[in-house]
This record gives sequence, structure tokens and C-alpha cells, in this order.
Amino acid sequence: MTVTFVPVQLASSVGDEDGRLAFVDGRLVAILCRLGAFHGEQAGEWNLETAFGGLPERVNTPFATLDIAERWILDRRSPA
Amino acid sequence: MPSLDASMEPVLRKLERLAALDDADRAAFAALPFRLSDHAADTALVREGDVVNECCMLIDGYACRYKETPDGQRQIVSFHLRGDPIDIQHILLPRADHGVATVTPVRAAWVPAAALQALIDARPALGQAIWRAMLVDASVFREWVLNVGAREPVARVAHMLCEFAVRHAAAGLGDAGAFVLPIGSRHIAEATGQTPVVVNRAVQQLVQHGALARRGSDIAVADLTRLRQIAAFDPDYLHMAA
Repeated sequence: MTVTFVPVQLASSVGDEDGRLAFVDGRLVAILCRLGAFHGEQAGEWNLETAFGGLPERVNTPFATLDIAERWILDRRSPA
Repeated sequence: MPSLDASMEPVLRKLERLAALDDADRAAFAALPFRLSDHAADTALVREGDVVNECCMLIDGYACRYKETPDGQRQIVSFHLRGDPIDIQHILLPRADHGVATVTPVRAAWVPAAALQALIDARPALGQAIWRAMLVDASVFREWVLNVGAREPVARVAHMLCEFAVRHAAAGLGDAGAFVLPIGSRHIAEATGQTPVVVNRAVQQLVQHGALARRGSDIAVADLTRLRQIAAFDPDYLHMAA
């Protein structure tokens, strides 16, 4: 099983616009955003904006890469 | 134990803002036994579940009270600064129902709960000041429930920082209108029930509005009037004129 990431532009007044819709089996399970420069050390990392289908809706630490985000989603996703 | 020491003066000044004290009250307070201790930033002063027979008074630095979920998610429930008596409830409730931790390096004074109880019994004006301090703490907790439960992220951060700025000035720590915050995004996140990323975005919007400014990795209040407008901040709940 894999996660399909679809690029999307998020509306943001501070420039956090580079988004990804994360799909598993054709269903939207999470929305991620690549963090802009003002986030300092976390710039470029992927923040979980929200999640669906039983995944935790927030995490305090962004994911360093989309691969790590994918593993996090698959590890926590309930069996269909 | 030292006594008649200048260390406790910030606490006495705070109590004098809460009730009219006479020379006998001041002398009784100055005669309280206490011990001083110094602590690094981000260290525990009291842990939930501890049985505590001393009350902690903040002599210098910044501290917070917090609750924690079993998996370690921390919610800061109040910030404290120089002169604040932090956990006077231990006079009557010895088991700590929440934690106290430093935010910055801290100097604390620890007063035996029994000595504080005796002082309250002997000096009604001091008792009134301490009671008022606890009632104001309770009012602040109510405001914080509203803050984390009902305000949007930008107003939530702005409101918390307005309170911080106003209390900072009241404690004689400088001009509320423009100062560098001793707390960063992580503490603001824990105090407002949001992730550090959401707080960073709120701070960025407040910077764009001119209410805050970034000074390197620090956050500064740049325009308190603007910050108060955004937060719809009304300081009545702090009962400062009481």
C-alpha cells in the first residue's frame, strides 16, 4: 500500500501555500503543507494540516520529508 | 534560613499592589523563614503528585504552571513572573495537582506552608492580599479557558501576549509597549493549545500587522495598542485596580 501525494495550492496569508493532498486507496486521508522560510529550522519540512479516517488530526513536529509522512500515515491508518 | 533579606522584596511589592499593608504587616512578612534556590530554564520546580509543604515564590525569572496528559502532552495553564507567589494553595492542599516549571533561569524562594498560614492568621491584611492573589489567578484561568476554547489562532496568541505584556509592566519589568519576549513559539504553543507551526503562522500575521517584530529568533512586542485591538483585550479580569 502506498500514499499518493497530489500537489495543491493552499490559501495562506503568510505564504504557506505549497500543499499536498494525501490519498490512500483513492480516499483523502491527510493534507500537508511545506513550511515557508519564516518557520526557521523547520522551513522546508511538511506540516500535517489535518487528517481524516482515524489518523491523529495534529502532530507537534512536522515531517522532515514526504517519505516520513507516508510512513507515518501508513503506520497509523486503520485497516479498511 | 535567611530572613529580613532583600530577596523577598518583589513578592512584598506584589502583595502591596493587592492590599493596603502597614509597617507591622511588612515586618511580619520580612520575618518569614524561606530558602532560596536557583534553577536552569525548562526544569521542574514542583511535579504533579508531589506532597509539598513549602510555597514557591518567584524572585527572578519566568515560570509556568502546567498540566500533562499521560502521554506527555503539556498544557501551560499560567505564566508567572518576578514577585508572583505561585502555589499558595499548598497551605491547604499539600498534594500538587499540577506541575510548576521554569521557562527561563529562575531564582525561587520557598516558604514553609505552616509559616505562611501563621502569617495569614496573624496579619489579616496579608491574608487579604494572598486571598486576592489566588482569586486573580482563578480569574486568569477562566480567561485562559476562553482563550484556548473560543478564540481563533491569531487573536488567541495576541491575547496571551497582551496579558504577558501588561503583567510584565505591572511587575516593574519594563515598558509593556515594546519588549523582547522571554518566551518563544514552543511555550506560546503550549499555552494556547496549538502546534508550534500554527503559532508561528499567527506570529507571522501579527508581524505583518506591525503588532509584533522578530529580533533574530526572538519575538518582540512592537505595538501593544495594535496587539490589544487584534486580541480585543480587556484587562479587567486581571483586577489590577482592585
